[in-house]
Amino acid sequence: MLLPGTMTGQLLGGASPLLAAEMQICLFCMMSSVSFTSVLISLSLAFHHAVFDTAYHRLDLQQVSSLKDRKVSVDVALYRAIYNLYLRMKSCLQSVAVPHRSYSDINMDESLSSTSNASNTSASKDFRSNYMILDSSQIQHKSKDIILTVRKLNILSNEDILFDGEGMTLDLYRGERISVEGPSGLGKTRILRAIALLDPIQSGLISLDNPANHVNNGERGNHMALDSSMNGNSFSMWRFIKSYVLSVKNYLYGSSSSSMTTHHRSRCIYIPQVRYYQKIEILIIDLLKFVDI
Amino acid sequence: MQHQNLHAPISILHLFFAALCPISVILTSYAFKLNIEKKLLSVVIRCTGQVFVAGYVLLSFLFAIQNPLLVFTYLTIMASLAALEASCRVSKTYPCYYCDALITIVISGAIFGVLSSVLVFNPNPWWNPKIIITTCGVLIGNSISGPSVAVDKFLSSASERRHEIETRLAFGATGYEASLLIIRSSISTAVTHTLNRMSVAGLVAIPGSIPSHRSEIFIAD
Repeated sequence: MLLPGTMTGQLLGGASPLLAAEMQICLFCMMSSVSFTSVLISLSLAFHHAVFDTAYHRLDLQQVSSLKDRKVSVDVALYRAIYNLYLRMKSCLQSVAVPHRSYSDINMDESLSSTSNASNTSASKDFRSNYMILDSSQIQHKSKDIILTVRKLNILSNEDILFDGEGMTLDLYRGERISVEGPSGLGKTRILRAIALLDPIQSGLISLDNPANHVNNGERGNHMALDSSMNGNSFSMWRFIKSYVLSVKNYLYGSSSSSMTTHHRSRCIYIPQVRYYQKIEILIIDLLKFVDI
Repeated sequence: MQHQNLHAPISILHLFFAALCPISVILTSYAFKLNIEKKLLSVVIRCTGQVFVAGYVLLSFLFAIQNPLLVFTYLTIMASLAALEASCRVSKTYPCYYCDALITIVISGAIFGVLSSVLVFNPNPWWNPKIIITTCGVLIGNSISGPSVAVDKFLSSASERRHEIETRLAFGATGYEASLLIIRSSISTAVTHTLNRMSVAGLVAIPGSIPSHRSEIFIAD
């Protein structure tokens, strides 16, 4: 039996052509509307479930996976595990003095940031201190207004928590430039993207001015806690940071990092990895411009 | 409506002649090393089995018994199998995609299935299996290919054009505004097939097995 309801089937089955045509017209109307409706429904479901984090208006493609990638066969997984083990053993054999891989806080307190250029070189040799903060004291802060604070920020990078313990803490003053440095693949870009709210954060607080002014009074102000929703004012400001982070990234991709002179950096966040890294990327957030706006 | 027999009933010999065509295609593919023979063979065998089961066993059984519960059970099975097929057809996916495909198929199928079978075709008991199964089969078949093409295009272009979308986001667009471009393109990609079919229907092709080329499988299931 051929499918009734379709014209050929009906004609072959011996129905009159006029009836078959009428049926076919009705079916075509239904089919076009059903395909459009189902496309709309499925797209909106995909939009909300997989692609966008609609509360924060950001792309969230972590759940999206390739259908072939999901089915990793057992032997491939085994090979990968052995190769990872080999890499780890190799790095252990090369130097016994390498400390265990752990990301400590990036702490930007004033007391710690008095460590200067001199200790920078020693610290990059000896990776016992997992972080290095530069504050070249010859550059004066233009003002003491804190315009960006990050408290106890923790983010996931390659399914690892980036900062052990307390999380990242950062105060950014008005007119200040800051660079984030570290070996490639460690999460510099992720930090910047998290601060710009383009990526989800694990925990912590990012706010656009000193949290002490607002949080203690119980006001939200310009604050953007993980659980709070954004109000209109801070929202536009975040938009600006986002655009700035993106444009700086694009700018840096086009230029070599060697062209950067030391006076660009007033403070650096160093995120050194354990031993093997080929290339040091340097990213700078030049916060001077958006503060002036 | 007159029922005239235009042709003799199809015998085994005729079926064999029909089977010669795909066999020749498979041989051609093998000769030129086109690597499509396995797919083609499995599809032909699958299609034959499914349509046989549908036509000779299930549908005649269902049409004879006329039980509404049985009809709706059959529709449910059709919808879940269609969702399974839709979730296999995409190249990019996300964890709950099967549920979403099922929701899509059930909602759109329910709306337009009820509309078409009750309001347009107006069967005698309103759940008449001859009408409702066939129309719902065609509709469900249509809501497999469209959404899977759309979602596939949407997900892949969301990750390909990620920087573009994020730049839009950064300059103040909402999530919907930023992704409107890829939403538009994926909708048009998905609907183009149906629209093309409709625009040449009657002129070039007597619309027949064309709209049912997907639904046959699922009616069969």
